[in-house]
Amino acid sequence: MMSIFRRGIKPEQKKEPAINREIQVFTENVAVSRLISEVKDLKDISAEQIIETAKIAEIFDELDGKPLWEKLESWSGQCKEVAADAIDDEPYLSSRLVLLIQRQDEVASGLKLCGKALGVAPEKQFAAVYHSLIAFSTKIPDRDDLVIRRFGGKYPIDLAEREKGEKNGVLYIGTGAMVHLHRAVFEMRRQTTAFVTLAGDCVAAPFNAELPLGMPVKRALEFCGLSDEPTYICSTGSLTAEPILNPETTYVEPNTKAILAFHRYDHAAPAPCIGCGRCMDVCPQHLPVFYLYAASLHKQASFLWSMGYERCFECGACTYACPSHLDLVPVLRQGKELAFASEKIVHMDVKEDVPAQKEAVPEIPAGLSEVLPAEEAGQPAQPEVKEISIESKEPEETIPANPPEEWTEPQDILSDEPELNDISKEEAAEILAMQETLFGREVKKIKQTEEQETDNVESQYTPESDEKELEPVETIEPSPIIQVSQPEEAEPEREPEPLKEESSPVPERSDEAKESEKITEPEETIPAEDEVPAEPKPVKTKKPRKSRTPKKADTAGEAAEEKESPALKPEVSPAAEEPEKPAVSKPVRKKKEPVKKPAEAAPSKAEADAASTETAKAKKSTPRKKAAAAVEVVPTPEEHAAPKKAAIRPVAKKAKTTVKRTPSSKTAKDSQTKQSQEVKES
Amino acid sequence: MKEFIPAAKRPLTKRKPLILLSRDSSNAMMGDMVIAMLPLLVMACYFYGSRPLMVALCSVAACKIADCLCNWIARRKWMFADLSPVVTGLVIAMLLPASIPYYVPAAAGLFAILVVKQPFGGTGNNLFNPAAAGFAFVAVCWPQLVFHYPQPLERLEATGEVTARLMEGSAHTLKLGGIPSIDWQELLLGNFAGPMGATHILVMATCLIFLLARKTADWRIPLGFVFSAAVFSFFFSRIPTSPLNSVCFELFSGSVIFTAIYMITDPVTSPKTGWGRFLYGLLAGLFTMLFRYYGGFEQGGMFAVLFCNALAFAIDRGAISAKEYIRRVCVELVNFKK
Repeated sequence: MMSIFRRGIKPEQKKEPAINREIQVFTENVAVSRLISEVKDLKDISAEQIIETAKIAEIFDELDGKPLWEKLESWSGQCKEVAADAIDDEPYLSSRLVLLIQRQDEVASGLKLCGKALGVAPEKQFAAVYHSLIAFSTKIPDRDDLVIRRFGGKYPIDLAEREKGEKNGVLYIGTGAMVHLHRAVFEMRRQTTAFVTLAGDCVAAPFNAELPLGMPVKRALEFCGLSDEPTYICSTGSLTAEPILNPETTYVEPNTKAILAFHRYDHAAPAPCIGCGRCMDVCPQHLPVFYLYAASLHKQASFLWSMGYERCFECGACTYACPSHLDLVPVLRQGKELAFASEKIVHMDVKEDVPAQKEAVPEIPAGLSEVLPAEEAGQPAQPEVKEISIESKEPEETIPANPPEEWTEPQDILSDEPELNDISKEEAAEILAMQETLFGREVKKIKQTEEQETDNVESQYTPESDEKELEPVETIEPSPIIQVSQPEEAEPEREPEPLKEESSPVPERSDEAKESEKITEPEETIPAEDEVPAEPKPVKTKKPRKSRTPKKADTAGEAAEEKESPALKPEVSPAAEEPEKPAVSKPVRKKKEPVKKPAEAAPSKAEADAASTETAKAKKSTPRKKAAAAVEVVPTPEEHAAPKKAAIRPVAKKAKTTVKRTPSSKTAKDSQTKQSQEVKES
Repeated sequence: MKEFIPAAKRPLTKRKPLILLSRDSSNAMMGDMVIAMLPLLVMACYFYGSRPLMVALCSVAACKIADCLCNWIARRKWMFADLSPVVTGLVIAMLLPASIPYYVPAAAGLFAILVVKQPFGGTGNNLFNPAAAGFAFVAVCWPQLVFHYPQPLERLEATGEVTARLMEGSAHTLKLGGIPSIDWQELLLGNFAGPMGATHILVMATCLIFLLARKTADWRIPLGFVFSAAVFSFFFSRIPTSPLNSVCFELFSGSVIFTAIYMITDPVTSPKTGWGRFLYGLLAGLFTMLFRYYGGFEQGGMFAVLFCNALAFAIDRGAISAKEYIRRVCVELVNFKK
């Protein structure tokens, strides 16, 4: 009832075709991992086991991208209610709501599991749905065990309810995470997919899809079919959108709820702020947005302190309402960073005193942040956070101490930083020339060693060998040899050296896929730095490596695509990779397939023991995958490496020349030559 | 990989702005104001011939040319399509008598733009309402010319000297303590001697409804203004008649209603908080009546507007602080109960 008076905006929902269509599943991947013994019923499993399962299955809550097990663990015992969040209050998004409609069993079961893990009675579990007065009339099927609570009002319902929930002890978990939890517990499947809405002006027939994690956005858009060339692509929402500048090197992540492609970009010349105050009228947190914006623009931190800057949860309502079309949210975000950083410096010396004070005066209200640095105290800075948990993670995560990597990333890719990035080719040449004169021989040495390195690497590193080492998109059957612990051991080794992954020799490359699971961010930046077609500025450095950049993008893309199945790492159906690559440039693919099949009949028969079951299973899947599986399959890396190395070296020189051309054409040629060679050898 | 640059030194992200935006635009808001003043111009032309059109053209041209020139000097874009100097010019024109010589609106327009608007930063950055300041400037410089009005429905020459008989307005009568001899129908329709665009009360009420529906003008400001002006003239009537009559005459003479709708609702110079706007309207109404009663001129609207523009930021700060204080008190109470 009071939601009528709630502040916000009422954009058009535009969910219509997508919400009534079936969820399209991209792959039927069945990534099985040894989690716990099979569970038939809810009572067979305990709360700790559920949390452990969520941890092993690497389930992320799509609402904020946090791991589910962390949430469950930190809230267990303190949670009064738990909700399956299907509030899709942003336009175009419907991926959570459609799960509630079409995968209701899984959602209900996941909700019960969450309830058990948190210790919440079944009466206090519900599903939250956005019921707008002018919204679509979608029927959500009723169930006895799933209570549906409807929320109405204006736009930032989801964010506002989550804030309130943190204050009142209600935990909101996305329906996608519930589905994945159900699958993890009852079907022993890890989270390898995300539920994404594919919509926008450029998408002819929008729908919801279940996409594998790590899939490039470009591939996802091709999957859904674009009717027009998009000029603006964004993910994770429409009003809280993260714009995607390079769809080839941006991947589907657990918190990608939507991929939207628009072709109209009508922005007139930016008008000045006329002080109409509409941003302040729609702000759901009653913040003085006009003043926060002006203070953030002019970098006045002291002004920001007095205005409650930390309560902004970046809903985007102010940006929507601004008639001058100013981009308010990033500027406010910067203002928040600035204010928080400067506030921290001022209060740093009080930090040691605070625990003693806390015990002495326990009822210091959370709002008086100017008296006590509440964040440093570990006490919640915002009144919404519960006071019971002293080391609760919420305040630190909402306002990170140093601007976290998620925030620096857009800066790194997008920002115009003349001090670091803005060197044109002529300037770079000048600098190199200057360095040569100054340092003379040393520079030449460095150049030579770099060239040698690239030579070595290129001789060992051909795209098809890369394909064979990486995991397949769809996984078939677990081999008894494999243990889940392997990837986790390997990953910490590789973490400190993300840059060197391309130059690493053959045996370590199988780790690429593993580390690409965990470390997506450095991968994204590396290709992005080299391959940003939109930016006119030439990219700095890496001239000797330039020939390898097409490969690098490919491998990064493939590596990210394969990240869902570490369990099957040694088991490789390498040409399962090939259908992905030719999809990048379609004509090549059609050429390849008829040539492949007769050539590969012989080798597949030769190596068939473990492979036969795989091919049998592969035949169940699409014909594309059939062709892929028909190519040679190797059960273990050791057996694979030796004949491959023998095959590679003579071919290396040929491969080198073709490397510099387009990636897909060279892989086609190389695979063909290699397969013909193997046929000859066998 | 890259060194960390603190937020204070980092340039703003170069990301593409959101695609999902409201269909409104700030220039459209100015356009609404222009549309809301065109009926007044039509009425003025009906009563006074084609001269009001020339007066309006004069002031608009002076404002627009000065604005574009200043934008060029300040190395901003020319902003030819910006309608805010057009709004300024029209407001100045509506407040002047139809018989005014052309140099007066031109001077008003030039003062408004060159002294009050552009030195503070141009569109969106002015501290004081340029139209009110321009009108105040000419009212102080040429009070005989600005406050003597022709009778409506008399032909006025579009060029050259105006030979029509000019008379004092009804506000002058009120200042002397007399009751203007105008019928209430004429009062509402504007068929009496007064500023060429500010006498047509009914038309202005319709335009107010239009502006409120488009959300170009916030409803709290005119409400506060008219309310406090009415209450003041109800309780402190200066003419020997019933308080209700006094309210009518005070509100419908001079430029009270016009100020309430067009001058004080300027978004740039008014406060942005809800309660702040209401208080701002109340203060402006009060000051208008005080200037009318005790000031040197018969009209006080423009001076009151300038006065309240100076207070706008303080009102906003006060409102924000008060809100924060109330919020914290509520939070304290809630935590205390827990």
